Amino acid sequence: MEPPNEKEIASAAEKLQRLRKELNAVLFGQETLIDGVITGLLARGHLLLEGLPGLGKTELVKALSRALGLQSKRIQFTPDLLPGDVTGSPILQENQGRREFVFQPGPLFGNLVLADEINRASPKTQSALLEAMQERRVTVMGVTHPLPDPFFVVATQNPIELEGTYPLPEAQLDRFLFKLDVPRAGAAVLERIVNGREMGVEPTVEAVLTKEELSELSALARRIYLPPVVANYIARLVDGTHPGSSQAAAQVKFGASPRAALGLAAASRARALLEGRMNASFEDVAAVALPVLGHRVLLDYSARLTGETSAGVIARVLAEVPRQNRETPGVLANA
Amino acid sequence: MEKFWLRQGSRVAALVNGARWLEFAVPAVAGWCFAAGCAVLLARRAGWSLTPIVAATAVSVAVISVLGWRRMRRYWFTREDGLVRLDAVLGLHNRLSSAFAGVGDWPRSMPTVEDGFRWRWQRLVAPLVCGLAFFAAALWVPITPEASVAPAKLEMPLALTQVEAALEELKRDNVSDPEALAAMEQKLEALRTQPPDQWYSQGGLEAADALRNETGHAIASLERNLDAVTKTLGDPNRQNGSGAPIAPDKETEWNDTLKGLQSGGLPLNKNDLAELKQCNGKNGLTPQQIQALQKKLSQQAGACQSAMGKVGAALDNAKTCQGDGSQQDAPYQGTGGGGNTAQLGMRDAPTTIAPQQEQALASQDTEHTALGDVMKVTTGQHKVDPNAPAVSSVGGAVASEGSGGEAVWKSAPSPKEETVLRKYFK
Repeated sequence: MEPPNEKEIASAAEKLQRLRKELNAVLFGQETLIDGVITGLLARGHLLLEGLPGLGKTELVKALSRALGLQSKRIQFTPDLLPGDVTGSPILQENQGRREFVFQPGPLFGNLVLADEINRASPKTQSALLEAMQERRVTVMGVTHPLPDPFFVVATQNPIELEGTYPLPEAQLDRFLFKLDVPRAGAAVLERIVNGREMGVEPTVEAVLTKEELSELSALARRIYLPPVVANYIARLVDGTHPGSSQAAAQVKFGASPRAALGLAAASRARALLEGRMNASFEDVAAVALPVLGHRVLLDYSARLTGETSAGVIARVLAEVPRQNRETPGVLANA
Repeated sequence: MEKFWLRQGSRVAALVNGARWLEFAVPAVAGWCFAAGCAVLLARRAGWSLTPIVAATAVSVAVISVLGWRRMRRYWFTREDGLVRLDAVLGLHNRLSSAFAGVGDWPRSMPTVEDGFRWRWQRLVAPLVCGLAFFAAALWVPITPEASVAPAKLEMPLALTQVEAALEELKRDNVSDPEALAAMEQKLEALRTQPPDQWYSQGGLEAADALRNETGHAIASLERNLDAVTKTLGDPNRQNGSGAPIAPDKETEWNDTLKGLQSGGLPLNKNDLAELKQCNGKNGLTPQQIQALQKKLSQQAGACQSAMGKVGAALDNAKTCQGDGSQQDAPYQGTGGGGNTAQLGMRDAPTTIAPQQEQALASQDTEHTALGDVMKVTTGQHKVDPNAPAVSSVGGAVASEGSGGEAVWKSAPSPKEETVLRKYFK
């Protein structure tokens, strides 16, 4: 693919800056989270947001859909939610004297689907959603119904209230490009919220991008140049998450999959575009490594005993794996 | 800007490649310096020329350089690798490597470009300095070449040297029978021709000592007998009334002495012995001949005494004195009491010691006796000094008066010496 030129990069960067600004006006003090969400959308990946209630996860998704001019749908997952409630189901209707089943699309048929508290639904319902995420279509009674394009799922899950929840299995977590932590706001941010917001009143969000522009930006992100050395770095990082490949992965039971490597590459490109650069870099890879790899690394029981987390493992892998895969002589040390 | 960054990339690549070459070459050169230093030390010790070593060193350094270069090529750091290194260190977001690939522009040049490396000098300097210091020390340390150092000559054991000197003395003065001398010399030669490292073995030293003792005993016996005949021939009272050279009462003694001169380890030479036998024969010697014979035998006794001196003080020998115990004029006077000496001898007739008489014994071994030493035998009760310290005395030494006769002499090798002599002189 032909790499984009500077003009295209500059134009894209300008649009993305407008989007960034608009979202930062809605969600205060979450610049990193907003950048991560935009990066994930540019990489055409689904996002999993984890945070305490009331931190603005739903507000973010709503603001995103309004800013991008996307049709958004919201699904509140509960334990009694059925797959048909998500995907849609056929309904018997009478049409011109004939009775026939007519497919009624479910809330999944939207550009931006907010799957709230996904870990409260049963595994059966979860799998119905995740299948649609992977294939971007729904098959009901043998009939395939494509999902809209673009199609993004932004799922949320609550780290507390684990009783009565169904944790997502690792195989299904792998379908999310990013898992982003929603941090709590500090006092300064809370003050801004108190001064600038009212309970029950939704903030005004202007559409800064159209659906087509978003698609163009995603396509542009795929054209961002990925230097071979950066691709090599991505491969060594993913390999380094496997037990035996590095000292950092000593307590890892299962490492990241090749899908994670593809996600890293896509996310690196998207971040480079967001930063206005024509190529992805080591820094981009390092910046998106935790959101991409954090939920794909399964730790063994010894990690739980020592209090090790996947974030800690990823950080040590980043420190251990050198950016340049060339051995330097022993008489030269890093300054 | 492109040239600037390409130059920087080349600089980093050259730095890494040079460091890798040094990493290989320096230990190899240091190792070669140690080996060359050892070779220099050996060559200087042997007195060889150092030119081949210097030439070999120069060739080795060249070979090491080439080998290091070839080995380094496997890990060759290219200019592009240098640009990637700069990307990572300077945080340029891989703009250099992208620009090198034709994507995007080169970043602006910088006044200083850090490559992020620092040298571990101790890894290079330490082995090189040690190797060169060893090589320099090998060239400068004083070494005496092997050729200029004469091999140390192992001296013969002293006992053999003494025996050789004693036999030489006897041979020069024609004292002893040449055959007996040759037999003794043969024994000496058998010990001397042993490998030098055997000279100072326990058996070798014991054999040498035994030979010296045997030689000393033989010379002492010969000297005693010569003294006896010399004294007899010079005694104006030896003749009987009829004018025979030897009085009948002294004949037995005379014959015993002649037997002693004839037998023994070193008998008198046959000519002199024959003349002595003629002294008391039918055709006796004239007084002038006897006088001349006496003079000659006296000289030979002196030669024996000189030979005894060469054998040395280690010889465990106390002289025996011959005589019948009667008062006679003797060349040596005793000290104190009596005034007369009595001669004791190992012979058939017992020495008559008059009771209640103190008589002194003369010692002719002037080299092993001190002035005033008196050897005497007394009869009567031992005069035991109750106040004398009860200490052990060395065999043969007079510890105190009255503690009995400690004068011990040996006229034959001890059993142990005999065993050693038999072992070596089969």
